[in-house]
Amino acid sequence: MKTSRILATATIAAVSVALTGCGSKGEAGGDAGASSGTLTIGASISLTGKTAREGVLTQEGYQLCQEKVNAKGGVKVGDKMLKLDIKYQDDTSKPDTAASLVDQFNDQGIKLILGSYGSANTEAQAAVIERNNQVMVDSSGADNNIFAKGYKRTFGVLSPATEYAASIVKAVAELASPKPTSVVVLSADDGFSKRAADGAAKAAKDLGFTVLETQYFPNGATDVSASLNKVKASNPDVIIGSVHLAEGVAIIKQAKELGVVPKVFGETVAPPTPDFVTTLGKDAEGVLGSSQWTKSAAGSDDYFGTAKQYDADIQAKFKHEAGYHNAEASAACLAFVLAIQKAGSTDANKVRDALAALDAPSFFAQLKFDAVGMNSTKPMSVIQIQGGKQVTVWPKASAEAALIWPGTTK
Amino acid sequence: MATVTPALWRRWGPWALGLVGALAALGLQTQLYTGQVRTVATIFMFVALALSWNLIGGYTGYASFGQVVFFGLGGYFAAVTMTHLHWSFWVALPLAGLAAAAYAVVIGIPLLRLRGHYFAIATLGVAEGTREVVINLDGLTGGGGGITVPTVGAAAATKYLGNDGFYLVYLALAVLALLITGLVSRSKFGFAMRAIHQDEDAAAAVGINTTRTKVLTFALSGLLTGLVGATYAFQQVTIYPERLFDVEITVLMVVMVVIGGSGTVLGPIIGAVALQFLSEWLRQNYTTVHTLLLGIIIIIAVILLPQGLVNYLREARRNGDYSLLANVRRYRL
Repeated sequence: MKTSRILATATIAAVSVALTGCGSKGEAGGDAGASSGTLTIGASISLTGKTAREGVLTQEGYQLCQEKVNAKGGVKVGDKMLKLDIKYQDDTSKPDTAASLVDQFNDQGIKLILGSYGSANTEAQAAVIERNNQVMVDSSGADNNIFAKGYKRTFGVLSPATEYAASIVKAVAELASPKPTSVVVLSADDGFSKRAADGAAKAAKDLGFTVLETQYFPNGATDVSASLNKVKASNPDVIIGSVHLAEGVAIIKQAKELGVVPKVFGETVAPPTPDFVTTLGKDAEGVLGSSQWTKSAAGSDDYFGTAKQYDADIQAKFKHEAGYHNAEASAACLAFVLAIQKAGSTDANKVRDALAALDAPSFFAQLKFDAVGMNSTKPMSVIQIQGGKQVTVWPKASAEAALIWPGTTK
Repeated sequence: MATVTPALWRRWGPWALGLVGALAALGLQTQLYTGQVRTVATIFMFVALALSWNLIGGYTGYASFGQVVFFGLGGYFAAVTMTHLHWSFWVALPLAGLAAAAYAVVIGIPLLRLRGHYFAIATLGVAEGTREVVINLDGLTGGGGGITVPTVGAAAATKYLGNDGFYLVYLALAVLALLITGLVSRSKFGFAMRAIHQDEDAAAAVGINTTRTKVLTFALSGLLTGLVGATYAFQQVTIYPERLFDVEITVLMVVMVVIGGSGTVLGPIIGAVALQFLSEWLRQNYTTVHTLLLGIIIIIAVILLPQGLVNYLREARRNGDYSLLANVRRYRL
């Protein structure tokens, strides 16, 4: 008898849950917080997991932005000043969680979202943003793929992936004398690196270089000698590595062992990483690298001032030099603030339109988005390791020193 | 109301409870915001995954540490056929499950000859190897750059299901896994599985075709995991080999089964719901230390209840002793 009673109670409970719920479902009220004098922006970031380091740097950039904006009284919306309040959630460096968090923010009525770290996470988020009619400013997803899907509600402050290695080619073409003639690209096989490699090969072709066939090796490889041996015979003037730190270090080390000596090495994200110089020591000298932002970037704005001031603020608050991960995050937050003020509203659709029309200078770069939402007019900076330090050599407007050419010694 | 005799309850009670649970899940959906729907859908996904691992790892005692290979394979089968051949999701889904099952048979025949750690390591190797193959089949899978299932426009054979749609699909898969587990656990086949777990040589000696039983179980487990993987691929839209073959997914399945109680019907469900719910709650409330807290809780749970919650309750009821310390002593930890 007892069991039948349990069963009956459970059934009634289940059915009543099913019935009472009908029609009550929906989204929480929009414009979260605007009425209470705060402006809430949701940020899903990678605080744990494999990109936790970069995720924390991104969060620092957002935090500094919030501090700077609130120090000026907040965000001016119409005739009200709203305190900026960025809500953080950890996406554990996983795209599925990052996408799920955007949905959860939407439940809370938070329509304005700052992007996670990395292209995979941002791409997953962008799809959800579009479905929920939210708006996102992407701070670190540079893969062109994110912007190739016809999304209308995601805006990236970065130069796209195709510019990473292409900017090095452009710098060499403009600055090197005598001008080199042949280029080869060595690339890791992940999506981002491949896209950057394609961009470099295309730029080199357009600039009249002889371009050898791109060589691929696995993402994370520590042995790239096979690729180097293949290109050794044709003795290219410029070797471009579309790589991460590990492969970037391997190229320089193993090229030396194998006697592959081009006029210069250029690598995408490895040389701007502090570990690059500490690992390679003297061998790092003369290597070119590309960076989204450097401390000598031109431009300034009312909140952060110049790039130099930005660096000083990061040093004061977080006790380390400002890196481009910090800067791009602050710039994304700044783009949001400027667009909201211009729209005079926190309504997602109006903010979206204001972002699409934004054209404002900043410590990071001009903030201006093209038809697909990329900041395609922004140049990448090219740095060279000179005397163990990163020095900006290109674009000329923000150069700290002249290019040392050739960048290698026989 | 008709009297329910203990025998009748034993025969039909669990099924009735399952039905009530499924109805409650449908009712719950109407109560949730759309983001919560997605979160709960993920719980159902893990219920289905834990139940499918339980078949091979719990009942049969073959701890497959490469179970994610079926998840990834199912996912890539669906993504590739939907992208390149413009298949409907509803065609790709069952065939993805079958493809994963077929793969389980192919690798199961040699691998299931290994036992214990050797089997665990071998399956882990197969999963890692398969991921490398998927990465290197660039033209088909998009390699490391991932593959995007068309969900809008003319190329999309099936419209994106949305959070509500995927909730129902994952719920259906969890119910399917539960049905299969329920049927298997009460059948002769299920007794053969348990016999293999307890003593494989003795099982063979009493006339059980151990190879056939093991391979079939592995295939069944692969089928369910593959179905879940296919659904996950469509839900995520863009998938990468890194995540689809992430060893963490296998580890989660194992931990959920172990905490809930392996070799039981209810255990994996309790484990999956508890762990997913807990990890989500911790993540939302302790943004910076949630993984640390979750880890500590899992360690404590495994130390106090090495046999899993369901098995502990069963034994405690039989012995009339609910003391956790006595339980730890019994398992000599």
